[in-house]
Amino acid sequence: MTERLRRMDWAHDRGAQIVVVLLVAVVLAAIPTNERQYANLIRITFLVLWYAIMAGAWNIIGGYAGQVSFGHAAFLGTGAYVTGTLWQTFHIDPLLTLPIAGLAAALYSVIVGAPTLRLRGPYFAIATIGVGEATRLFVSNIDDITGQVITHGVTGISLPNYDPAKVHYATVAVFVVVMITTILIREGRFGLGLFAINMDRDAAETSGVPTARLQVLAFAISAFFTACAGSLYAARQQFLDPTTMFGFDKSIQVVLMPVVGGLGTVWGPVFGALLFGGVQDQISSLTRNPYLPQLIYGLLLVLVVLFEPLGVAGLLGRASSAGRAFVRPRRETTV
Amino acid sequence: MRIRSLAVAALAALLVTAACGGGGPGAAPTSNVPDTIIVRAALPLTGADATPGGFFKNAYELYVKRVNDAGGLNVGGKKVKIDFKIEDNKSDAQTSGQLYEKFVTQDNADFLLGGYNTTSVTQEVKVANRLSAPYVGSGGASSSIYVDNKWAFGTLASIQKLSGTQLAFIKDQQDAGKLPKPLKIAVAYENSSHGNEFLQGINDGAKASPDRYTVVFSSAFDLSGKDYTSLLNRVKDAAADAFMVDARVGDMITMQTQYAQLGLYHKYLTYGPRGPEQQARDQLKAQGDYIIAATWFDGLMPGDNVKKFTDLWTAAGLKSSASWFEAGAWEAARILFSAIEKAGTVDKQKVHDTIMSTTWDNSIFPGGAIKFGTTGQADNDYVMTQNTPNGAHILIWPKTLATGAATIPIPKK
Repeated sequence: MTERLRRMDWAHDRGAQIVVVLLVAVVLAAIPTNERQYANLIRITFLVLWYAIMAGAWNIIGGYAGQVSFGHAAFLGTGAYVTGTLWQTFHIDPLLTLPIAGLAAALYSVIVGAPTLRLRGPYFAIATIGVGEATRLFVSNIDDITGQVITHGVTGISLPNYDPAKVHYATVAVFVVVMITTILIREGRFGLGLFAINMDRDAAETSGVPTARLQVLAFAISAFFTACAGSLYAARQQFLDPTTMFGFDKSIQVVLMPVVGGLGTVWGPVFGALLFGGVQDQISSLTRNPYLPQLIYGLLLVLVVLFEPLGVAGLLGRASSAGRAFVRPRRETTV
Repeated sequence: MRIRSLAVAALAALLVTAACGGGGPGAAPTSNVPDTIIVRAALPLTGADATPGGFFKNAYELYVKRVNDAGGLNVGGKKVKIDFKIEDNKSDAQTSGQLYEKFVTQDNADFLLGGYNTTSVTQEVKVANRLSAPYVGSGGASSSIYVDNKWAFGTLASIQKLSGTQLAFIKDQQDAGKLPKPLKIAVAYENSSHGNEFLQGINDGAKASPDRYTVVFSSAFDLSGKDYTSLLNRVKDAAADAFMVDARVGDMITMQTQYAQLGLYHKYLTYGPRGPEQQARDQLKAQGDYIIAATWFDGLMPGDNVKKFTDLWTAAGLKSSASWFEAGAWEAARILFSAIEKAGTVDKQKVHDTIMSTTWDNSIFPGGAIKFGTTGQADNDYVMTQNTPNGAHILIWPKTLATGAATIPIPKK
């Protein structure tokens, strides 16, 4: 699959991709936030963008570098809880806490990633499952262990009301930053190094690619943006509990979206998020069956694994020249 | 050309999103009375809380069916049918929150009936407040749910009051010489705000009356546990007179089974609001005898309203007897729909104000009336029960409602 991505060498203009991202952002930001008739569109937009941010962030480490993390809920929860705590305790505007939450998760990812990213294949994946679950249990029980009220344990943190319009604009902004970051990484030397690691870590190392450093950096960037998604969730939902924020199901969802949408592509995670967030939401509405969308998504996953490793983005690439732009391959870059 | 293709495709994706979530025009508050009102609820119909979720569903649906069969609600002289739908939240709090948001923004629901379990209800109440949608529920008793709340109403009295009721009963037994002073209490509580408030209520009582209550052991436990023997062995080592637990039904069954297997004994044994549930009695059999509970409703309570309710339940063939789950959901539905009729409008603010300002008489809850406090939570008294060896139970507290004398201390087996 990586070879196919490498070979499909067209549509090199990263500026064009950024323009598309900005166009999307302008359209989304133009949705009236105060009019009741658009409330549902705002709700679905948040759902899709929130998933797209997480999926795009995961794609940096999982899609580009090929290191499959099943523990990203740890970073999502870290971001949410850092924002929740700063907001509740120090009354800091939740959107101002995004960088702090992101940095906290990035730091955590470096501490976790430095040793675990030395592991290869399934061993790294298994290690990240452990990290995710350990983090959930830590947050659930830290109050009992220390005797201090820090995370409110399983009870969760109940947060004040917050302007949903601000959250909408912030979500669009974070989406733009994540998309531009993933485009720039993918087209730059950093991305080339990550794809080299993905294809053959030993060969990359022999060629002088600083594999350990690049992986840890990719993991940290991925964690940063995942935490930003957590912060946005805190500002919008105003209630955090460890089971929801650190749950293993969240880690699985984050993996599934890029896989179904198009692993290693820029737009694949967005397609995955659109399917996972928007389409699933509407299917469950129509059928009143919360499990049918999961079944459909599972079938899609099987089809992707069997027939189209580049997921929805790959299908679009096969279908038309316009669609091919969405599976834009990494630009050939000379290191 | 390339840029144009990308832009066209991106906008196409956006249009798909927009089409998916289009939704019709919003149901802005209006004094005009529509032909139908839209009411929605999300319940745990599958997953860990499917059993109580099913009880809630039965109560809501039965109430709505009775209203619609009678022609609908009388709103300002006009008969209005109820368009009521329930969706499954899979016993997941985040899903529940998302569903309630969808009910208001997509289904244009006018009013909301509540779900079940503390975490889910907390999410739901947040959504109700964010979207200014009147919400009446009976699936969460933790006071923390109703902090900074305006639009949600909960029919269940607080968990701290539950602890306080049990301590008041214990005091009465101490005065009768049936329990020692001070009573050494071991507390185990589920790791949730429900459990924390249960412990808090006991600690508050012990602090206020150290001559009567001493907490010698307290520990949290995770929900849906499979092995409580380690916890129970520590309880045994504490040599307490009373073992007071706050647990959900499933956890109570698991813990009480292991409690009996380990041969533990206490003069006073409670699982908070759990004990007389049919599911527990069926599974625990003699191991469930003499367990004491404080609950929000019991079908043995006297009064015409209670009898009518339990008869209705039996006639509907839903269950042999309704528990507090069904009773709470019934009361939530009764209050919401009665408020709409009383307000004579579907205007959300007016219905909200009517719910808040009215004393809801003819209640099947203890005291016969429900009045919401400033936080939106009701404050009715609890009724206490004790399981009896024949698989049944009796009311033991308050004295005015008692149907038999409590067996205290619990006999050793």
